[in-house]
Amino acid sequence: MSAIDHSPAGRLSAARRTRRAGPARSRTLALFGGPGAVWLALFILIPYAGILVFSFWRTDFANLIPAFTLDNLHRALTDEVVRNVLLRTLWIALAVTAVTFVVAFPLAYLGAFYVKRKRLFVFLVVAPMWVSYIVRLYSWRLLLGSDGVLNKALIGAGVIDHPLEFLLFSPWAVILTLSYVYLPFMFISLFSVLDGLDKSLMRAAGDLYAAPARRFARVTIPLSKPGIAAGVMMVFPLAFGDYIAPGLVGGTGGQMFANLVQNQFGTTFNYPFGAALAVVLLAIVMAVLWLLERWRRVEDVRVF
Amino acid sequence: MSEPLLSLRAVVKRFGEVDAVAGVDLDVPRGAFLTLLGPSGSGKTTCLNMIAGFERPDAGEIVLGGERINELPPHRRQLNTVFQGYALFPHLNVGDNVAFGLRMKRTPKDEIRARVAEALETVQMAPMADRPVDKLSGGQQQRVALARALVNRPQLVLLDEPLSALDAQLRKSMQVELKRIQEAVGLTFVYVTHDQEEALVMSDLVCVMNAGRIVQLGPPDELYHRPVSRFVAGFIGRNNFLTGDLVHDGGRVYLALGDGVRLPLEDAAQPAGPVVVAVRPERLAITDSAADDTLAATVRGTRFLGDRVEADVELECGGTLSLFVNGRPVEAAERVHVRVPAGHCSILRADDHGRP
Ligand SMILES: Nc1ncnc2c1ncn2[C@@H]1O[C@H](COP(=O)(O)OP(=O)(O)O)[C@@H](O)[C@H]1O
Ligand SMILES: [Mg+2]
Repeated sequence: MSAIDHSPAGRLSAARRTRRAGPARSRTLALFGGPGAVWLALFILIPYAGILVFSFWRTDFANLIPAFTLDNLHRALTDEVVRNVLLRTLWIALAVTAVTFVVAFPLAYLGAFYVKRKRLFVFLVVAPMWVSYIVRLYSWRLLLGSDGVLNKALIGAGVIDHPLEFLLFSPWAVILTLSYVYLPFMFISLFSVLDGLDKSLMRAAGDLYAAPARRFARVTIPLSKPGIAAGVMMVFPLAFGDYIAPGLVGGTGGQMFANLVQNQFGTTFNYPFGAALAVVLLAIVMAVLWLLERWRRVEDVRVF
Repeated sequence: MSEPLLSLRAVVKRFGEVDAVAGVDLDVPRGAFLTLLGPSGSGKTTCLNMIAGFERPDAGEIVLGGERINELPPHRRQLNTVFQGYALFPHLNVGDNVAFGLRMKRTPKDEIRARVAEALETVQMAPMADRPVDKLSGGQQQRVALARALVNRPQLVLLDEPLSALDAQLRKSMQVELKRIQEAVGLTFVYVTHDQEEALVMSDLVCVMNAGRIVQLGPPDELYHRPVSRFVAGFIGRNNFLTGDLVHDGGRVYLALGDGVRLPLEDAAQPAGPVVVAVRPERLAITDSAADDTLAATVRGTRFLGDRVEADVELECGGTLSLFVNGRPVEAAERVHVRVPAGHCSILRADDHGRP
């Protein structure tokens, strides 16, 4: 995936990058390109090719029969249940991406421009990531469940009589937990770009009559694009393909696309249909990443 | 006398314990090319930042065009800055960089086009309008940064060491070019540099700073010929220093050096006491015979500089001088007499610590 190229760490100012390119870059390619290509082939391309091939096969009850049929893909694209789950997954993933961005951007901005002890600040924001993913999901269950902390507190305070069931086992719970889980990824991407911004560019914008809000829209945001793109590239696919959080906090109304895929492989043993669903999932993620890349390349103002 | 465009009145700026600017009074006349000159850390950039509005003075007043602007945010000040590292926007091309200020002022599109074209013409970058800025050379980026300021037709342009990133040759030609442009557009420039040669070449007025204070303000030739302190004399151009006591004798004034040697000086109004006398290498001359105004010395060594030869001599009464050899060639270890013309000696107080 092209996400590697845009990793925020390597993204300094455009000018610095061009100066660095050249011999250093080709040496890096030689060093990492060879083993990297093998890695990519072994663990990504071959499995994906396998999935793609499976999606054309047939099943006879639990037996896999090699074939070339488009039935699985056709069903994956037309089945009403699949489509509903797909749409729900799409908006949950978009919502998670949006929530992480809206929360992470101010934090990253604060960290990059106003905080003196930056390392400590970054550590504090990212710290939850060191705790196991599963543990964090369970702690949200404890918080949101019908006899969870939140409901008990609300009942105790006399705000409600009965526990609020929609807190847990709903798409909202999925969005909340996934946003919490993936926030550090978005934060790190945004922080490293904002922190690397040449602060004299902000001054230059002010000097050229841009009030703070316009400076933000015309300079800060455009220059943060690589970080925004990197953050979205990590959070959106991760959220879109997640099947653990919906399983633990989503309930029946919160099932996501990857749960369907999981069912085909783990429960119904319909590998070809599962593979076809996985192909659809991959295609959608790729399409979103492609759109993102296009957005990143859009020129900002063009009079000349 | 017409009112100055910009005035700093008793301006102070502290960073923690450091007095970056320790009480600066300065008037910048309209249309002038004024240079703030001083060693690194003398407070030049801090002054500029306060004029531009990036820093607030802790005390004092900044007045632009008759209006106090201490509290005015940068984007509401009618001035523009050429930044030390140019600070061109990497996401915009040359033309859009130059257009930025006009666009922020919501100038009509047609006018933006015309004025950007004109500004790029002024800095001789017209064919480059749609180039990305990171593909430009240092000199070209510098021109774009200048055009980006000029296009707004501000009352005042601030420049912070704009040539420091360029190589020596390009720097020389840009000095001439900058001065030409400033005269052509008739704008007021406040220019910051630590390079005294640059300051002399370009400025109408040079303001020498040291340790957050103004040490001397005047036209380049005045600073060169009549430095008011040892610091200025040493900082601007090359200089020799003779340390001794000023004595009066029979209506005349002398510098008493070691071994009873006395050197006649001119300025009889100076009070007696310890002084430093500064005299430029090009004012000294080697003579064969001793006279009233010569000092006996031994040649230590010579250096060939192309257009002239420079010699270091050791005075018999103590101390060394550098001078240029014009007449017959001299050799190391040769004994000579050095004429020190009284009319070209600057008498400075010995303990001025950089202040007049
Ligand atoms: N933002 C700042 N924080 C702390 N000290 C500063 C800051 N800016 C400047 N200084 C200090 O103020 C003094 C003057 O700095 P500056 O104005 O940049 O000097 P110059 O431009 O003449 O080299 C220096 O001692 C510098 O270390
Ligand atoms: Mg400086």
